[in-house]
Amino acid sequence: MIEVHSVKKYYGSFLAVDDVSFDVRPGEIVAFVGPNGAGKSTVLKMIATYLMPDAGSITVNGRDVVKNSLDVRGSIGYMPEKSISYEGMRVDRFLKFVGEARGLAGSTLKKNFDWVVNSCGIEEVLHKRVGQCSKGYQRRVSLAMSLIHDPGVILMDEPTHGLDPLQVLALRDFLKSLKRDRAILFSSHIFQEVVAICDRVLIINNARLLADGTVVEIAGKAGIPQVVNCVIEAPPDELRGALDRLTSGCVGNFVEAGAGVAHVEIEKKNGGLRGDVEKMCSVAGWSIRSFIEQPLDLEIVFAEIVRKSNEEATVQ
Amino acid sequence: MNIEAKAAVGACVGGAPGTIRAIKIIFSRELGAIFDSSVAYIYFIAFTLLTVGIFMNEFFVVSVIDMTPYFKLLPMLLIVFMPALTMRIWAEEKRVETFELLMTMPLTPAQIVIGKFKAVFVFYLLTLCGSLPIVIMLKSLGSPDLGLILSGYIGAALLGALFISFGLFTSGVTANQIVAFVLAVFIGFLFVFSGDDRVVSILDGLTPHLQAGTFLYESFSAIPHYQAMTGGLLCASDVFFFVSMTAVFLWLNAISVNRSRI
Repeated sequence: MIEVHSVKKYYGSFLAVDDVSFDVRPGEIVAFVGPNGAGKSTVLKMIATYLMPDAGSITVNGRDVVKNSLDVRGSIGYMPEKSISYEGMRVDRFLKFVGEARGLAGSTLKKNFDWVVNSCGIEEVLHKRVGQCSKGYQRRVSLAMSLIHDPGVILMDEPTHGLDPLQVLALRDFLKSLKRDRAILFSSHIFQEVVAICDRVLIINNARLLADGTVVEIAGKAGIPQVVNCVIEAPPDELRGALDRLTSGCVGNFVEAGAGVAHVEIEKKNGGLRGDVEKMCSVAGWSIRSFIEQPLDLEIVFAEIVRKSNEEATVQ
Repeated sequence: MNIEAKAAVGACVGGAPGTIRAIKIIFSRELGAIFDSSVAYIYFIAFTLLTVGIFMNEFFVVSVIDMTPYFKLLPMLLIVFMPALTMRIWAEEKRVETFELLMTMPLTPAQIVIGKFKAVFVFYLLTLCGSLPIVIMLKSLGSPDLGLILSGYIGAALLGALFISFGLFTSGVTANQIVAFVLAVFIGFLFVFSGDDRVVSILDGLTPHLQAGTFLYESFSAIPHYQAMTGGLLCASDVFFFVSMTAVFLWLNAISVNRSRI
């Protein structure tokens, strides 16, 4: 588990990370989203113990990244933004080197080596030098390198950068499969990817953390609620009144489709909307024909949050 | 990627390797990297041809069954040759950013520094082996003093260790190989030329009260200690000088590497 408390980081006089706090629990995939230079990579590097925070504290599984850096390094898998590796080394030798440096040996090393090679699909390039592999394969080698010791905490900086669309889909599924019992934090510019796999989103801009929550929660705070389209068989007048009471006036378009059927648009403010509507219909003896949650456009949510943040910064 | 292979082996099976094992892992990788590069072979050939060539030239002129001229020549050549070998060790890691990889592994800076030092030192010893044909030749032509030759080799090894240690240090403080090279040449120059009688006289002449030349000769220069060894005198104080100086530069290297984490 990762806990970041009021962390600050300066590069000279430039404040790269300002009072950032969040946590990532086991079984969670959390995405770090922000414009270039917002501070995402710096935070990841601090958690990975490569950089040291100037203020605040970071713990990984209860261990401080400054005081217990070796313990922390042993429990994390870090995939940097660039495909960092010794280009002159053969892929298999490079992975074995990383495995050994992470304390693996004998049958455990072999077992984990086979696992990452198979999982990351790098069998074909095992005997090639890393520098001779294509960019996509180098990225996969970098992924394999970060996972070879089967870490409980996984940090990835732009993990899909350089991968083709099929590889991106495979990586998403792979990360989901790794999610159980592991805390995964990754940074990304690709909103589609963030929505597809993450449980929570952290939005960072100008070194400050602007939002922390699910996409729906963040969108709600930004004034962009998720829209739900549902078709309910019920007397329209009664339905309208019941929905207004249930959603505190968040009912949008309400179209009577005749014969006691209504098409309703509701702005979703919380995750329990579906259950509440189902309960209401069940009590009243109405039936729900369809209940479709329109996907939230994270790009719009992100743009709105960043815009507000920039406006506030300008005013200050 | 093969999603069918998603089953994890068991979370977090890794940890930190022991100190000896960690040094061995870094040593193996570094030595492999040295031999993976064509620079190693060019270096070996150039160093051997130059040292053996200059020695043979003098041997044919003087015609003495003695290897001392070879050892006398070594410090001058190491001033340039050793920085050429060490300049890339850290600077290259920083340039291609594998430094980030090393610094996020469960290894201490000291373990990494010692592993790298051992690898370069072993390569240096192998290049010294390039002069063994001289020993064989001298043995076949007469009766050289083998004790003197062995003492000379020990001196050459210790001098090389010192040059490697400050070469690693200068490589660790910069990401630029040229800067690392120039700094190491400068330090090597100080270690060697502070032991030259003419330099000592000039410095003493410039600072008559301080006697800077004599001070540097007695306290800093590697040459008096090296010359004692190549002259067949193997004293603990001379060995201590090289070992302690090497340890100081390796320690400084570990500190500078750790501070690179800012």
